[in-house]
Amino acid sequence: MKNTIIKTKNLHKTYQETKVPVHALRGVDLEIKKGEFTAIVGPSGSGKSTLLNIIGGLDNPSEGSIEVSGIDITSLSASQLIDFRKKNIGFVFQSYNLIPVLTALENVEFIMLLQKRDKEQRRKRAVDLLKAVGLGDKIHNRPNELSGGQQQRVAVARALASKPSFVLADEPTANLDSTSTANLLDIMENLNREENMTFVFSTHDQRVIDRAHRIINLEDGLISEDKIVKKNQPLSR
Amino acid sequence: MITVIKLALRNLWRNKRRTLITAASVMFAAFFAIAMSSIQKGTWFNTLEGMLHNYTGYIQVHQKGYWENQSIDLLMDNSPAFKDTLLNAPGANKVLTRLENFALASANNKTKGVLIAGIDPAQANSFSNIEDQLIEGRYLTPDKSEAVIGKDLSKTMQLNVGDTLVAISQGYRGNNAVGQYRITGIADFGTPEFNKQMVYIPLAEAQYFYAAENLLSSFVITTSSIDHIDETVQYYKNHLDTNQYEIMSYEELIPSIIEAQSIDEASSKIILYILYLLIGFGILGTVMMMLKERQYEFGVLKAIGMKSRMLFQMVALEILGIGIIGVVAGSIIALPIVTYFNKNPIALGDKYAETYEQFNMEPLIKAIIDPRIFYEQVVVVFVMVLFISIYPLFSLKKLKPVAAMRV
Amino acid sequence: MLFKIAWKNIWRNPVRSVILIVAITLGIWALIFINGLTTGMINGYMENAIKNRTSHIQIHSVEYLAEKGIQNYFNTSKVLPTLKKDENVINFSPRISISGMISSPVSTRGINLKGIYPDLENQVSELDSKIIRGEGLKSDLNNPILISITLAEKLNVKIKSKVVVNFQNVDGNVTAAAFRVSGIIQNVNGQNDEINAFVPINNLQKLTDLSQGEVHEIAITTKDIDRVEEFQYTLRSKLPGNLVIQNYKEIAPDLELMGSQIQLSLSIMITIFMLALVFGIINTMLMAVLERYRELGMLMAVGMNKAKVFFMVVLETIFLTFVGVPLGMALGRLTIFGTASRGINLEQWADGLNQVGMTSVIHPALEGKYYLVIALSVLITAVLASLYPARKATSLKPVDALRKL
Repeated sequence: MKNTIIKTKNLHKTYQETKVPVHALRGVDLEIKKGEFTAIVGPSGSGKSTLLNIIGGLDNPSEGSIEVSGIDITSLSASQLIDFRKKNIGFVFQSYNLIPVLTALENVEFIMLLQKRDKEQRRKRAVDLLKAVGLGDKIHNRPNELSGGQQQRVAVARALASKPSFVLADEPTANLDSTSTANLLDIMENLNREENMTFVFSTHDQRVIDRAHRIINLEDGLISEDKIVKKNQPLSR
Repeated sequence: MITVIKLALRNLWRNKRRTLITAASVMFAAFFAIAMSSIQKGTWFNTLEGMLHNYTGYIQVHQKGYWENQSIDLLMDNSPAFKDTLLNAPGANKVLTRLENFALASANNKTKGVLIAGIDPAQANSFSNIEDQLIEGRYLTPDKSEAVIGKDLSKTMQLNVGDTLVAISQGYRGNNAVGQYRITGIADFGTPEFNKQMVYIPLAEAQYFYAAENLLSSFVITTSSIDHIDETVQYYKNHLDTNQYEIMSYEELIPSIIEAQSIDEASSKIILYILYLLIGFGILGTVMMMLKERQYEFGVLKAIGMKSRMLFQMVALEILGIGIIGVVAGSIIALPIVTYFNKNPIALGDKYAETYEQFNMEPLIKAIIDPRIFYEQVVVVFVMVLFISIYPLFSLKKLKPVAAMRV
Repeated sequence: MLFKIAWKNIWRNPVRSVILIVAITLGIWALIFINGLTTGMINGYMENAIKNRTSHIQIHSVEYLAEKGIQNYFNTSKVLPTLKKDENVINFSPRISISGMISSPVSTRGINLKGIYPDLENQVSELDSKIIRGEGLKSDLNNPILISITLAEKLNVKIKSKVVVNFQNVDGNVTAAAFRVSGIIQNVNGQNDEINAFVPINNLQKLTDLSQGEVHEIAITTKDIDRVEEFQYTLRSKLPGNLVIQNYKEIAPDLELMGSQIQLSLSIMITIFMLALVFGIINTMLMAVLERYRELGMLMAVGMNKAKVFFMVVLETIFLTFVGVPLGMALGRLTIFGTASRGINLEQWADGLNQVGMTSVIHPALEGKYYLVIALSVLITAVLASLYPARKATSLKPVDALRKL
């Protein structure tokens, strides 16, 4: 299907780092379509971080296949993978997302710089994105001059900067208070609605789960539940 | 690239203390290396220049075979045309004519072996400032039976200004040489060897003494700079008959001193390199700490699409930055000290003077200000940075974002 | 317990610890080897000087020391019996020593002409062993002379060549005498050795009109060079007052000076190397402390007091350092041991080394006490360098430390 963005088949992941092998994923089949606002939930050790890492091209599955935007990413070389990530995936991590020595604006610009976009275009989009996440007045602040919530909003802005196919967020609210969490979710939902941006996030934060449109429950490396709770409401143009 | 430089600089600034501690170690090594090399090079340079300007000159031209035995039978005509040829060479600025041989000098019932050199008084004075070296009496007048002698010789033979010295030697083609000279001046020539045995007399007198009319043992040449003698030597080799004449640079004239200098310099270089090696290990430790501390940050950067090459460039630039700060700071601290010892050389006490005498060195500690010494440290630090960067090169390549962020 | 924790802690990051240990090992090895080499060089220089220049003790007249003239001789009749009786004297060699000018058909040079008893001289300065061509003074040649190779090359003479020497006799007249080169000796440069020439004393007595027993110096070797001053003192009381008895250090002050120079340069080098190590140690330990912030905070939260934490960091530093010390020492000792007897051959630089009176084969040597000095310096360095990281470890507040990361 044309608007399928992520498609996994029979994903297995076994860690051999310790003496006892750990089966983090044991056969995950998943399909995520454009414009979805999906939460992957589950207790610690359920495999949700592993699944996210594999979807993000940061880790390889032990078995099974994964296609992102129709490309089998397990077949890419390390260097191709970096380029692929740069162009197609926006990342938001739990914390320490930003380069500490760069300002908010520079952090957002940075990824476009890696894509060698020209300066004016870069600057304009970065400012626009920071305005969109409500930080128009803080573009010249360094990360340590921003609150945790503000930092995560910069991270979201950065994730969107490269116009990715989807944004992958790994427990983005783990270190945030309620207000900041609500704020961040508002922004993400807005972007989802207005720009039809696809979001996939892992979380065990009930506040986030309540806002998700689709909830995928992971347990012991398998999908135990997959339900659509809200219809997407793409803005009609 | 500009972004990488900006990132590197800001990272250095962000962890000021670490940057400073590490840069301080480089500074320490650079300072020490510069100070030590400058003083060592300066002391040698001083000795060498003293020697060359006093007597040896930068280049000498003799009758072929003269230098090997310094035989009084291998002499050359004192021809003005020949001298002009020598002066015409690129770089050449002074030519001194000299006739010399060993002799036995007697006075006051004492006898000593000496070196009697006939010189053109005015010419020799412009060459080595003999007049300024006089500590008693006056300088030579041409065509008179006068002599200027070294201060140690004057002491051991109890010869004062006004006394007469009798000399005997072997003259040209087996002639017996006998002469007598009135002492007009006593000089401190700087080098002990000269003070002990040097007797200067006017060239014409020496030619008469050695029965070598209008003959010379050597043409002594200085060039405008000691660094450019090769060109001049080459010119002579092209323009003089090398079957009849030998052309020797100071390196060939005093080879063992040059070699002693290079041994001395080589041994201190080894010490300096070991010092840099130790400092290098310290920096490697810092780099490892830095990589570990920023593992998460690097993981994120790699995850969002920064290639390891760029990460490496950034880290390598940071190490280089530390190196540059260290070298520059070390140079800045070293410069005034080197300058001070250049302007105010330390004369060593009598006790040390004797030791230096054994090595034919002037007992003077003097620094030289040579930009090459500073460049050299830059090069050494650069190479050190290059080596240290091997570690981040591999560790950043190996760095897996997932593992890095699991900290 | 603290010791055990400290020891285990340093192996938590083996790569880092090994890097520091390698640095320390290298530093100590270099210190020991360079100093061994320098000591070896100086020893060679001193041996040269004592053998060729000074022997252990020399006797001259007061006047000769003031002015080395032929007239300033002394008579051996009151000296030799005393020397022969003294059990501390191993060998002695009376010498006539005058300055002169030597000429060959090719060239003319200044020399120091020494009239000697060949057997006695050989016992003091091993003169025969230095002969590289010819057979020495016992040759059948008339008026034999031994000259140095450097001089022989300048004069362009061979064995049996005739040379003429001009010198002053005891009445002040300059005389000339013809000699035949009976042997050529290897000279040590840098000590003015090349201008020494030797002839049998009887011949020189005739030529200079000096009588039997009239000499300028007596060179003596003693049983124990380390007790030369003692011997010098007792000899003083037994000999006439117009004679000056000097030991080798007085004859050549440069020898003692070199010894003290070595001490000085050794201490400078130790200081510099230690300073270099300080940077490495501070870096490594600071790193070790910073990355264990949480753990240290935990330890302090559960009641480990500051003194103990401080002591633990100091201990870790000492342990870490002292893995490298014995390694470096052993390596240094081995290098010196391995090269000492055979020597390190610096043939390529022989000319330059000879120029300053050094031999081209160097036998590294280092006194035992220097190993101790080095070990002690490293210990002090380690403790000093650990103070900053240790203070850093104790200055943290448990709450902050736990909150970090």
